[in-house]
Amino acid sequence: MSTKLALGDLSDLVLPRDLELLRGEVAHLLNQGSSLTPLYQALATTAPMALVDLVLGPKAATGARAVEAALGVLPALVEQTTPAGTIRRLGDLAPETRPEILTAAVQAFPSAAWIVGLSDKFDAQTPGSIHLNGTHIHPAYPSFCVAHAKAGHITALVDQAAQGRPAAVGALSLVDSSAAAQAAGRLLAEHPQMRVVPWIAAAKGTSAPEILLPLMSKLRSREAAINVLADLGPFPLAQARLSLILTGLRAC
Amino acid sequence: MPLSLSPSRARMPYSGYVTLTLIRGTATIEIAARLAHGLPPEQSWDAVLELQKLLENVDGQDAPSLLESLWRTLASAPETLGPTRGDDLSLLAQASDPTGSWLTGCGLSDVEGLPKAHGFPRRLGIPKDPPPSLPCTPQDRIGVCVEEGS
Repeated sequence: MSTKLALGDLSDLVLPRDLELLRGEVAHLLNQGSSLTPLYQALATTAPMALVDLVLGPKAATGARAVEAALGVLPALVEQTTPAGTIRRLGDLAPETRPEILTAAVQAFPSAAWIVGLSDKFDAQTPGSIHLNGTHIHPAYPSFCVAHAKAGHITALVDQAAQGRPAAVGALSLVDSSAAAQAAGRLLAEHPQMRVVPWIAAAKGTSAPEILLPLMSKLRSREAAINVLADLGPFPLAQARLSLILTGLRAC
Repeated sequence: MPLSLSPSRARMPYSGYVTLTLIRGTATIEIAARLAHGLPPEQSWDAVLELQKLLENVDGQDAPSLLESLWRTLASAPETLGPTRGDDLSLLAQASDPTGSWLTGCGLSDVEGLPKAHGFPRRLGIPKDPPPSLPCTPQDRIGVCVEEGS
């Protein structure tokens, strides 16, 4: 029976009567270091409610291996429950694997609003970075940046900017001018050809110089300065100041 | 009175937004405009830069001639007004000279004035007519932009 279950053969089972038997089998497989995947996959197909009870219920197996196996059947789990509830519960069952759980959640539900809220707990080192790194080519990435900015995930957004993603600068401009200037400086240090003024202007309107003027002291290359200057037409004060700075910047 | 358009409810509230002040002798024209705001910020900003370059050509000796020049200038180069050729342009302009001030605009649902001292916004309504000397017909660019009371 045990071998059959481990291979995903559920033909001898009567559910929910044999749920405790299944629970014992899961514990046995975990003790042995064997894979739970065939069993979970079979349950996902034939007995999804039993799978939910086994994986997420009050007596669910805890620990990294149990949760990693559960992530393999995530679509079946969320079909029976709510995605956010499933992810939270898995995080409670194996707190040490929360970053991996969030990564799987981001892949499955990149646009879900609850991902942002969950990031503080599941992406504790740099909240927001897992979601933003996992979705930077998603069409709604700029919206995700704004959501994380409003949630206070400043460090993650500065890191995003440093990777050449100006939407992060735009999002920061909405909430924290100082951080936005820092992020724009980091972006232009690594990617001097990229445009940050359009994003800052789109967020701040006529108040854009609040960010543009501090940014100037962070420009390290002539290429970046020339690039920024080309976009400064509607901000004459900033334009004049950068022109002056440019005369002092050596070609490099 | 500094001019501004209300920020949009979009993710980036000032996408495609620009203000400009032109001084011509004793006359001044202030312009606040928004266009191409539904595009990514880089593309909106390109449209803004084009619009700004175009508006720098506005010229006149007094407020009425500045307003006339504004509409002539806009009508002269619709291809510079973003991908929709100005259909999504919202613009509010105030021209002033020693004899007074005049407002004009397009793509606006309302115009309000805020008193210098604290107070409630005062509804100014929509500028109904372009400057009388404007050589326009209903088919001209400004005609399709005006959205009174929408």
